[in-house]
Amino acid sequence: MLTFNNNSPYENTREKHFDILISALGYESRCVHIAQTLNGNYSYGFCLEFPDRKVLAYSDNKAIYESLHFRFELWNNFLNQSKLLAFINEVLESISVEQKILSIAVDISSMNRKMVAELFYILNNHMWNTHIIEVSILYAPAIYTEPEPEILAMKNVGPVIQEYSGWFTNPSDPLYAVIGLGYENGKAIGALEYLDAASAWLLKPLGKDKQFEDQVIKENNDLIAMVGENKVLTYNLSDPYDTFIKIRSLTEGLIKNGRIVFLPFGPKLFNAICIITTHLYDGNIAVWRVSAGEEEKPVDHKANGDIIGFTYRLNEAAFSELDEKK
Amino acid sequence: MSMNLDPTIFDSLNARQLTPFQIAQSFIPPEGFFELVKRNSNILIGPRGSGKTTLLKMLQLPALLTWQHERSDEITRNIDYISAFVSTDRAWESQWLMIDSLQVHPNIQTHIKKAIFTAHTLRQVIEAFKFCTTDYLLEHSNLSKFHIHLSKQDEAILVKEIADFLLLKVDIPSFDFVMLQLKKRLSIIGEFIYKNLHKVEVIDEKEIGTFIYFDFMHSITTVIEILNSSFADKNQKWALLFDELEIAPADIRKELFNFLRSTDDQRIIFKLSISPYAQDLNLSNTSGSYAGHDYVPINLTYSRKERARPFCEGLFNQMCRFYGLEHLSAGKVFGISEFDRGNEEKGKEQSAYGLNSALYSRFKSLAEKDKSFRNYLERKNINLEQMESMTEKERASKVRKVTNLVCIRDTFLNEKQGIRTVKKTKLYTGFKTLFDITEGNPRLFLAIVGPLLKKYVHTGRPISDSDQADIVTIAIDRFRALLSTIPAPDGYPQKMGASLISLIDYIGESFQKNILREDFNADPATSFTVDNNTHEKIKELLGMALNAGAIIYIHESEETPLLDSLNGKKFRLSHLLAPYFRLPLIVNKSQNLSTILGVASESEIQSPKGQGSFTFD
Repeated sequence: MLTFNNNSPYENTREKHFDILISALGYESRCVHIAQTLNGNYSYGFCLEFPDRKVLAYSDNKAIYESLHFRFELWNNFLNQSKLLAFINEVLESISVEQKILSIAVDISSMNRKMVAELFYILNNHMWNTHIIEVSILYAPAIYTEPEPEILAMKNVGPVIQEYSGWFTNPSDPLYAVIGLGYENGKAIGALEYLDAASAWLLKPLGKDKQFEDQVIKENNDLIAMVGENKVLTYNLSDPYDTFIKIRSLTEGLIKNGRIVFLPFGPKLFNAICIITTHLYDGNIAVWRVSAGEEEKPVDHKANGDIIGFTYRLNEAAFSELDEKK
Repeated sequence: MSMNLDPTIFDSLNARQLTPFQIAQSFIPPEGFFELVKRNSNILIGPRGSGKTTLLKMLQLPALLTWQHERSDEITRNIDYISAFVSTDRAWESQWLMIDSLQVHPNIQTHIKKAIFTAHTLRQVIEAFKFCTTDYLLEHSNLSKFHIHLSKQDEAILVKEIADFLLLKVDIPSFDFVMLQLKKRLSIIGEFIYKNLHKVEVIDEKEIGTFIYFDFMHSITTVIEILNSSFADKNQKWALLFDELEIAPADIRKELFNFLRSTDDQRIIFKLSISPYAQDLNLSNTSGSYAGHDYVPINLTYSRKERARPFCEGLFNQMCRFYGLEHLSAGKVFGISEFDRGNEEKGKEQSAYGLNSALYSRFKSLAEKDKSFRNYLERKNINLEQMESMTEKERASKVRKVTNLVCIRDTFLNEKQGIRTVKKTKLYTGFKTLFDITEGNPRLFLAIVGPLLKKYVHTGRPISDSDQADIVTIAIDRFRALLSTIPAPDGYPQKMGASLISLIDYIGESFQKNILREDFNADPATSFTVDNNTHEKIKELLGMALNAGAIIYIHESEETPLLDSLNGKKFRLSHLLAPYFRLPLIVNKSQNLSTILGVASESEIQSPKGQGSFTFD
C-alpha cells in the first residue's frame, strides 16, 4: 500500500539522506548529475547499465560511477528482480535495528520507460515485511535540445510492460486516454489514433525553459485542436506532488465510468508519477509507451542543475497499525 | 440559419464514445445498411473509420427507437430480431497478450480468453434484454413488439435459471446482480493472471472456477433460450454483433466465422465486423463459411471514388440539415476542383476550354515548360488554341483524361523541369476533390468537411482554398502519425526501412516519379499488384496498411473484399495521401510491387487487363 508524505511534500531533496541510490548508466551527461551532486547523501549505489549505445558520455559516466563505488547490474531489456531485491536486502541487514525506514532514491533521469516501469513494479509489489520503504523519485531536467523534425517510425506501441496492461472488467466502458504531452513530432497524436479512445485529456508541462513549452505547443497544436482546449490541463514540472494530485483527481473522475490508459509522453517524471498512480487503483489502469527504439538517435542531454524529487512510502500503514497495537 | 457552434455529435473522436441514441441522431445510412438490417448473418468489411461500429450500433433497439429517416418506418416494421453489441478495442487486445504470457498450458490460455469473451457477450445479451423491459419501446408503434412486461417475480425466476446454469451466486434476484457477478468473473480471472505472472503464490487454474470451461456458444444460446421464455414468440430471434474482430483473439475469430456456417440454431444470426485483411481466416478452406451462402458480405470501402460520392453527398446534406441549411450545395461552400473544371463547366455558356479558361492556362503553362508534354500534344494532334472546337469525344479522351496529370505537373514542375517547392497548393481543394480524398470514410469525412462546414455556418462565406488545404494537411499529418505507430513485423527486410510508413513512402514516391520526374505519360502507373516476388513480411505489413486504410483493394464489384492473402491482388494508395505524394486521384495501370521496391531487375508495366507488357516510349 502506498502512502504519500502529506506533511512535507516539498522538502529539499538535497538535504535528505538516502540509504540507496538507484540510477542508470547510459550515454547522457546528466546520467551522473544526481549521483555526483548528492555524493555523501547516500550510503549505497546501484546502477543499471545499458549494454549498448556506448557513445557520447558513456565511458566518462562509467568511470564516475566506478569512482563512487556503485554496484553494476546489466540491463538486458529486463530487470533482474532477484538481484535487485538481494541488493536491497543486503542493505537492510546492514542498517541498525532502530532504523524502521529504508530510504531508496531512484534517479530516473536517464532511465528508459521500460526500466522505470519494471523498477517501480518490483519495488511497489514486493512484500516488505520488516521495514517501511520510502521511495524518492529523483529527476534532473535537461537543458533544452531541439527535437527530431521528422516523424520517426515506432517500434514499440503498447503497455510499457505487460504488468501495466490494465485489467478491464468491462470492455464496453468508454476508453479514456490521459496523455502527457512531449515535443516529439507526431507521437501523441499517432498514439491516440492507434488507441482509438473515446476521449482524451492532455497534460501540458510547464517548466523553466520557455523554448520547451513553445515546442510542446507547436508539436501538439493539431492534437489540442482535435481534443479541445477544455481538455488540456497544465502541470508544473518542478512541483511533482501537485502534478500527482492533478493526475489523481482526473483519474478519480474518469475511472467511475470508464477505462483509462495513460500515455505519459514528455518529461520522465510525469511518466513515473503516472506509474505510481496506477498502483492506487489495483492495476486497473494501463500505462502505454510508444517508442522508436533504436531508431531514436542518441542525444547527449545535459542536466540544467535542478533536482526534483517526489516521495512516497510503502508499507507505512501496516507499521502504523503495529505501533498503535503496541 | 442555425448558428450552432457548440461541439456537436459530429465532433466526437469516434463512434465508440457515442451512445446508440446519439449515433441515431446523425446517422446517414449507406446502401450497405439496408442489407445489414435483413435477417441474415453478415460480415461488414472495412478499414478503421469506415463506419462498421456505427452500423452495428444502429441495429440496437435504442438507436432504432431514435432514428428519424424516410426509411426508418420500413426498417423498424420489418426488423424481427434483438441485437446485442459486443465491442473490442486495442486496450482490451493488450489483455489477450498478457494471457499469452501465462505459465499455463496453451489450452488453459484459450479457455481463459473464451471465458472472458463469454462473460462480455452474456452481459451485452442481458443488457439488450433489459432494454426490452423498459417503457421506451411502448412509444414506438413498430418496436413495441419487442416490449416485455416483467414483474419482479418473473425477473427473479429468470435470474435463478440463468444463475443455476452459469453457476453464478446471486444474492439479489435481479439482472443487475447477474451483470455484476459476470463482471466479477473477469476480476477473478484478473487476479489469477496477476498471481500467475508474478508468482505471488502458486495457484492452480482450477481455483478460477469451472466456468472457464463453459462452451461459448452453448452458454449464449442457453441464456437466450431462458430469456426467450418471456417473449410471446418463444423463438424470438437475436443478432449477436461482434465488432472489430481483427483485434479479437484468433481462436475466437475463427470460432465466430465457423458459427456462420452452422445452421443449427435459427434463432441466432451473427453480424461480424472486420478489417479487410485477416491472414488466419483461411477463406479458401472449403469447409469454411461461404459468402453468399452462409453470410452476406457488406463492403464499406470504395475502390473507385465515383462509388463513394453518393454517400459523401448524403452525409454532407445531413450535416447541413443539422445546421438548418437545407439544399445547400457543396459547390457553393467549397468551390469546384481544378481537376474537375472541364466536367463541371460542361454545358455552361462560358467554355471551360476557351482561351480565357483556367484549363487552357494550365495546359498552356505546362506546354511552355515541359517538352515531353509538347511532344504528347503533337502526337495526339491537340491544338490548345482550338480545344473549344474539339468534339466532346475527343476532349474526353485527349484532354479530360490528362487534366489531373497536367494540373499536377504544371503545379509542381518548374521551367527547368525540376520539382518546385510548393508550401501550400490549392490543387487538392474543391468539393469533389475533398469528398474523394475522404474515400467515403465517415470518420475522415467528418474530420475534413466537418470543421469547414462549421466555419461556413459561422461566416456565411465560401471556404477558401487555403483553409481547405490546411485541413487536408492536418488530416494527412494525423493519418501519417497513426501509420508511424504501426511497426514492421519481425524478420522484415531492413533495407526497406522498419515500418509501415517507410513502405508507403516507397510506393508513393515511386508513383510520384512516374508522374512528375519522368517524361509526360498519359497513363502512368498509379496502382500496384502484389506479385510472387514480394517478400512475405512485406505482404504482412501491407495487410496492416490495408486494415489501416493506407491502401485500398481494387476489386471487381461482385467480389468480397475480405482477404486472407494478398497474392495477385491489385491496390492503390488512399486518396488521402495523394496531396502528400502529389498524385492524381485516379486509378491507372498497375505495376508489380517487387518492381516498385526494386527487387525485379527490369521495369515491367502491365495494362489493367493484364494484356501483355510494355515499357515507356
